[in-house]
Amino acid sequence: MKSKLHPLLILLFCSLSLCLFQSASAQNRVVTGKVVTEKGEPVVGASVGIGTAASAKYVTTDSKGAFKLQASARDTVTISSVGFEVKRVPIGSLSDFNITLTTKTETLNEVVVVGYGVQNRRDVTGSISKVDGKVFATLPVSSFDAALQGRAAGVQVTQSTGMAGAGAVIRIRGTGSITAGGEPLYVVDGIPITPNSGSTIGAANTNPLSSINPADIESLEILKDASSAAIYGSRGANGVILITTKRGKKGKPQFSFSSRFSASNITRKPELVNTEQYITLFKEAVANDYKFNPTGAPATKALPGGYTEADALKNNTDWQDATTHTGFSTFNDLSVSFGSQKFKAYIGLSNAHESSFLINDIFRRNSARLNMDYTPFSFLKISTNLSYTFTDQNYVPVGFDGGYGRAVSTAIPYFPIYQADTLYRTPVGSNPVSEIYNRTRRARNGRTFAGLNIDATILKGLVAHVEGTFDYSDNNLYQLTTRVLSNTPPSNVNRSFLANINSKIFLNYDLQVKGVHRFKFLLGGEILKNIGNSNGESVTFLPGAEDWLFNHPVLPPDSIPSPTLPGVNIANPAHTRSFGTQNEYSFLSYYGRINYTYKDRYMLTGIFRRDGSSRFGVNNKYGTFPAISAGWIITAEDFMKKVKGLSYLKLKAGYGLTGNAEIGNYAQWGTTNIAATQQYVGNAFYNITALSNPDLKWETTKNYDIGLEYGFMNNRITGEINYYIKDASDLFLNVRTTTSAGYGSVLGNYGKVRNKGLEFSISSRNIVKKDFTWTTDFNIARNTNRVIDIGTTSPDALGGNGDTRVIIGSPIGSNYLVKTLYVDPADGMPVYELLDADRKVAGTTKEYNAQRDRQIVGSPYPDFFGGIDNRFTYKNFEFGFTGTYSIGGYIYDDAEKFQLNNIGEWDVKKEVFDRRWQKPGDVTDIPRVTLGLTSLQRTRNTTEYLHSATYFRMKVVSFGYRLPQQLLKKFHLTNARIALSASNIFTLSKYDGDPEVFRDAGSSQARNISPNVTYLTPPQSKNYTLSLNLNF
Amino acid sequence: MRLKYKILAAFIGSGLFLASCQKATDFLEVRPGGNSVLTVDVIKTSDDLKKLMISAYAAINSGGFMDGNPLVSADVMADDAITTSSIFDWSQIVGHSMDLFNPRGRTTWANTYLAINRANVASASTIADPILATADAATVTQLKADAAFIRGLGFFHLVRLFGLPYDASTKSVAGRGIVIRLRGTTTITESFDKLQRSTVEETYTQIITDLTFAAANLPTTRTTWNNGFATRDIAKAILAKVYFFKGDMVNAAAQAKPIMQSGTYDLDADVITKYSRATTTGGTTKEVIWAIPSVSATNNLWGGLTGAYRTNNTSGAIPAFSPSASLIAAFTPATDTRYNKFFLTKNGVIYTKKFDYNAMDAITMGFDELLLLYAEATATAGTPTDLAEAVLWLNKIEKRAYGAAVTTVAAGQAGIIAAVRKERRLELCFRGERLHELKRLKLDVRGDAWDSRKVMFQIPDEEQSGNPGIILN
Repeated sequence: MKSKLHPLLILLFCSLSLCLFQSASAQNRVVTGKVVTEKGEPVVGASVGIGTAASAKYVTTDSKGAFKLQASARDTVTISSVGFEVKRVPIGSLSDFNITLTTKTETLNEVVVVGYGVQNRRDVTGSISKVDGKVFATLPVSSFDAALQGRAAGVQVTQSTGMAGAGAVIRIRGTGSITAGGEPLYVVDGIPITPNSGSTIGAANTNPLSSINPADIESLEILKDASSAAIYGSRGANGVILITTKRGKKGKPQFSFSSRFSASNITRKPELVNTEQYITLFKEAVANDYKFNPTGAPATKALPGGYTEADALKNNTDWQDATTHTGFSTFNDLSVSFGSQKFKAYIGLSNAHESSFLINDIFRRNSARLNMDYTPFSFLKISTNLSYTFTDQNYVPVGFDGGYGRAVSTAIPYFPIYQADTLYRTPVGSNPVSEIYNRTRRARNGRTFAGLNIDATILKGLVAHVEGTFDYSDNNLYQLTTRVLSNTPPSNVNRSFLANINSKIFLNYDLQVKGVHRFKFLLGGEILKNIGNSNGESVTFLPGAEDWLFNHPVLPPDSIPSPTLPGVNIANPAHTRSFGTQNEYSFLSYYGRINYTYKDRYMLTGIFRRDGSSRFGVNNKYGTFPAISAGWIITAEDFMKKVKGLSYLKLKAGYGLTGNAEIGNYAQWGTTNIAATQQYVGNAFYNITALSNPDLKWETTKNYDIGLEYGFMNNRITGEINYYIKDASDLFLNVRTTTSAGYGSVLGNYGKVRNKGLEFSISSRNIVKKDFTWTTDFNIARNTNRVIDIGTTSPDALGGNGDTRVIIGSPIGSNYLVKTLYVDPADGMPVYELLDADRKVAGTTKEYNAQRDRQIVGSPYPDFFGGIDNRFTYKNFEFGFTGTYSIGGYIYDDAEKFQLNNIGEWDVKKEVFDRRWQKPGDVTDIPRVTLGLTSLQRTRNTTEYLHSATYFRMKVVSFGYRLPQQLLKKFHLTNARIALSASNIFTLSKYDGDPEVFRDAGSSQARNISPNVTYLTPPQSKNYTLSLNLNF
Repeated sequence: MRLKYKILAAFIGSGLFLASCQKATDFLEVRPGGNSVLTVDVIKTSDDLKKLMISAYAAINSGGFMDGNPLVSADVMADDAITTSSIFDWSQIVGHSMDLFNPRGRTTWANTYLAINRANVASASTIADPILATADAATVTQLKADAAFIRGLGFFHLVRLFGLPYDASTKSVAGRGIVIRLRGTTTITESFDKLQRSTVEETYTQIITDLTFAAANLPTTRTTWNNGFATRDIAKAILAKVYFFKGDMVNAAAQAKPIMQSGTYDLDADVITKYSRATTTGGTTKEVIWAIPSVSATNNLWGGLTGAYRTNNTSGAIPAFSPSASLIAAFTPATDTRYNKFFLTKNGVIYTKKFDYNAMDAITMGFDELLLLYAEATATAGTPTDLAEAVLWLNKIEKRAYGAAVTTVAAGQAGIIAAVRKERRLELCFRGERLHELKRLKLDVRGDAWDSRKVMFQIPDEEQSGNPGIILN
């Protein structure tokens, strides 16, 4: 809403200052008047002026809406008040005015991007959240997706980690897929970009969105329901995020420079025991084991790692401190926008260097963008979008992969980092510090977005649009383990490319009939082709030459293995090349949309899309996705005119189909693997790998939506309430077939999931004074998720990390755990709930038997989640904070089963030392320490590690100062702002880890079915950022 | 204005050009690339079917079939092997409480049917039928004989683990044999075809039909395909074993006899030669009737066994599996040279070193085994000639083990049979035979009756999910 106001104000200022010069010599007289609403109510506090608000010729209306000021006949009075359209009245000979302000619907009148066109917010019948590009301006990180958190009701954004360049997992109105991708479709300037299917490097999630420069984003629209997303057909079921980049504006070159400097620290560290405490616990564990099982356990046992107690006590390494630091990041953006009647351009240059709190974890990005609009004739507009981004990222080992993950797991506090001054302690392979320096992964990625759009006005209102876009990325991943960690250091280079080609033609026709009927027609078609390929090279070198491959990334094709390679370990000439197969898919689509508005108060939207895809089986080559929705602006009716306070009320309802086509590229085909490497006693063979499924198709979601948009007090308070049901069916599942038929399972469209939810948002201008304003945005959403059908899939086949399941009647990814009731005060062992064969409670047991006693516990999803945003301005000062919260639901800490239990192999949490059972009679929740005689005893998945997921997090607090006009003029600036912001400065949560949970899930299925499971995941970062913005 | 029309015409023209570039059906047909080829495009001739048949042979070596894992399971379930592994796979097998989730059961069921289905697809399926209709008779016969062999071997493997032991009291119990699949699954519809378990009798009848066909129609030697492909001898040898476990000693002896007398096979001088062959440069053995041969000193085809028992891993890990006290007690270390060849003591625990090799052949059946079953089968016939024949062969085993013959005809029929059975346990230890031997002899399996469901593998949950009507043990 601010964004809309801003350019308007600039225009206003310009025109008013012109007036000012003209009126300087004119004769003044007293002008009086009264400002009223359309309903005749006085508008209090409206500003009435001749000139800018800062000028002397400025008054506010009194309690009766009256004003009085001096003006000349050549002047124009400008009347403005929050919630109303700005009105300008030439004074002429009048001296007493009765001015009626029309309600300005601010957000309601803003233009929103709806896919293949734009619409006025007022006319929209679907559910669309708009996020202004400005929110990305103070980001302390390089990827924009994190900033969406808490901004839109029903959009659950989980920031994955605090790693440099890390992304977020976004779920719009719940998870409606089990195995297929659950991420929304991202469309950048019209091109649907390759979705993030959950690829990982080591244990770090890659983030393709980090190659988009946030500073280039003008606005971001989130299409949440079928009434808006059905236009994206088979790819719209998870919602659609439309990203529009900035374009040139008419006028003299306007430069914008922004620079941010940010310091990043870890938000939360689990508190682990120190050496002394560790030794105490270890000795106690040995004693316990012997005491309770004298025949099965030894009476004494040496400390792990072969340390004597005396030696061990000499060291006390804080491995978390050793692997983290304060990371310093800089972000610099320079852009210029200029244009004439015929030509406009936007140029954006950006450099980001992000260094997270993890040592050696660095993300670098340089990007350039050139967006041009050329209008050679009034009926023709040619636009281009061009951008190139180069990212260079170090993926430091984390999670299960080592580094910080090892620092909070197998690195025991008495292990020293170094054994001599320069040598890492052995075994170096389990030394987190040696890992972060000696297991290097460097990903370099060049990404080009290029688009050419031509708009031709054929007739009045009829515009033909032809568009060709290209999204190409070239990725180079270099992985090296140095000789410090291996005597035969392996190194590996993987090169891949991804080309995403999209071209479309569509017609937009706007028609007005007799002033009361307004139509917008859209009819179009498009093709999309996505091609990817990757090749790898892996060589084992002699120690000392291991970076050879990095320096010589292209090997001659015939030299495998080649003696010409310096340093190739001939004794172990492990040199392999992997030639990836081309990965390709295509879409061919037709679509249309009709928007009909009658008397500006009744709206009807009809959408259809027909998608054909190479992914669909021959019997279901095309899917049709219709949607219909209607809106009624009740406040525009005469009978509502009398209702005081309520200024805007729109009822909207819709029904539609959307699809999810993220089902893999080749699942429909019956395939045979003919690789010559498949050998049986020296004979190559053919192997049928999949049966043909000609009926394979997209996943279908039926969407039912009803919503209410409201505005009170001349729209000082606005907001929206939505209720929806999303019935997803034909979910892509590997269902069980009779195993004796030879395959055991087949992939097909079998599952059903229902998401239901309620969303509420409110935006309020609490205080609007000349020098002081306060606005609040708040949203809250509830989504319930229930699995309706999984065909004949066996329950364990859909098990996820940390024992989650997809079970009919429960949410996707429910925790399936043995319930621990209490710790027996007699012997300190956990007592579990015993289930009988019918899975009914049948008493208690001390035997851990997961097969028998596992049950669904808790919910992996929150009951409510949302955000709150407050902004204050006082004169030139700005202050704001954004918080996000989540209420209800559980977190399963998959690592805690070791961090609380695995004495002897892992470092353990301090709470074990503080609260463990020690002697008969102790009543506590932490069992007696034991070395765990069997692996079963060490890897129990029980409710002991289930934690409340409720949290409130202060996401951003920012304090800004705008330089005053006089100073700006002196430096020839139009605007200058200095801000200090802090992110994640505090978090209220009972859980001692990061309550925003997202595991290093390596596939879309893992992302969907282990939503609340964490495993040594690095927490988020706490950032302090100083930013400077200059416009000139 | 004319300019406008020109531009618009060019504009619309280019749009039409773009639209007409490619036919929609072609644009939307994106086939997988690389080594993944459409089955309809690649399987066209009988040579292609042969390549599919090799995939069936390859599956014989999978984890649930002949790579050794089910053999370990059977010995642990019986009284020859014990384990320290506490994961539920093994704790259930140790405790005779295997449930439908047991991974050993799942893999055995799935892998064996995988091999059977691959054999069927290559010989009798909607893919194979049209090709075989025009192929030459010899090729058709060979493919069908290969399939019959793999089926026979597979069904026998399954029925001994998942079915009731063959006996007059059990053979006709409904649904306690296994699922008989004779045609390959090539479509999704077919893969939903829920066949149910046959009786034990029906299962054995099918196995005998298949192996008889294989024994009559497989090549006698298969030099072009090296070893690793079935010949008439192995089909006959397995057939003999099937009759033996069916209690049909006459037919068992009849099938075994020609192989015994062929001179092709013999006991090696050293009992471990057949195990060490693959790791020994130029190693040869006459004691193996059929094995999936290792092709290099690092190509291990008996991973299930070496993984469980091996004591000389490079990592130095102590094996989780070791011989039971009962098995050790059955040996007479003082006189039996096998004892020191089979066992060693490490940290006070006796382990077997039978599988201490980097590479091993997956021996499906050895001459040693055939010899012993032939000896018992002939001894069962009981005529003096038969007894003499039985003793003649038994003595070969005894001479190698003890340095001299132990049993004479004077021991009488019962004495000879007892001696053969003793040697079966000792000679064939850890080859997965003990469980079936106990059941055959109707002896208790560590306290549970020979026909108890507790000593049977359980039909896995995965089969139940896809085939809810399946009869459970």
